[in-house]
Amino acid sequence: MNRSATVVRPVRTLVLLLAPLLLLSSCAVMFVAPYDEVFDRQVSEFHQKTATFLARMNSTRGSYEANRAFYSEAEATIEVLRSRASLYSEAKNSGTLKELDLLQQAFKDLEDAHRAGPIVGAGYLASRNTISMHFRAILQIELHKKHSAAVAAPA
Amino acid sequence: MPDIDVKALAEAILAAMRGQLTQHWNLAQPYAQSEAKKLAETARLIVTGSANGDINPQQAKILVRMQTNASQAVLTALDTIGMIAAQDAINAGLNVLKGAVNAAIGITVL
Repeated sequence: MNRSATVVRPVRTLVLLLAPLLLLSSCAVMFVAPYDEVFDRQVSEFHQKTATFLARMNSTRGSYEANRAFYSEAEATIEVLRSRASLYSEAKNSGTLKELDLLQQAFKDLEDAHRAGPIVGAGYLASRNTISMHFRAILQIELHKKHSAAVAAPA
Repeated sequence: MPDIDVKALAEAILAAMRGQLTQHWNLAQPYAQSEAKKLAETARLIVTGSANGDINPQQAKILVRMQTNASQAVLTALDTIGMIAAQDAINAGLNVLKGAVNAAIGITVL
């Protein structure tokens, strides 16, 4: 048997066996966009601003007409958050983008409720709880993304 | 001839994957429980507020709609967390695989 053939065959076999492993190991899977500290901070600030607004509406019985600017500002803030969230990849950040759609709808509903009357007492508490659920949902995703960043991906 | 203990490696990969899934579940479980409780509390607020006049009929209808929307937000978060957990589990398994193959061959090939 040719000497070079005896050397080449095992090497070729080894390469063929290792090829799938090489392929797998060189490509860490990424189903969801990575953690974004700026986005996380912006969401937290928006949550605080909204909570402060609702508390003020409860204590002052503020009318919709006198406070409608808050809703247009909220809409603009959600748009800014959406732009940031779609920077990495819309497909990989689809969960967060869906959360922002739901948050936008929540603010439209809150605006309708405010237009229908002052947001006070149990109405204030129910609105605050519901809106906070949206913020917590977005922040939970960021928390898990942050935890995920600590898992060393294959190099 | 380099060799790999397939059974031991499979168990190590599974342990690494399970570790990641457990860590995410430990973070997600209290969140899911807390949000379910909040939904129930808010439903009670809508009922009591409608009875004492804090909430007018139009607002009650909107608040119920907001509850449905918020439930979807919680489910979307849990769904996304599941994807992140799967991603981490696979990557943790690949890390174990990489270490085992490199050790068996004796050089860093992966």
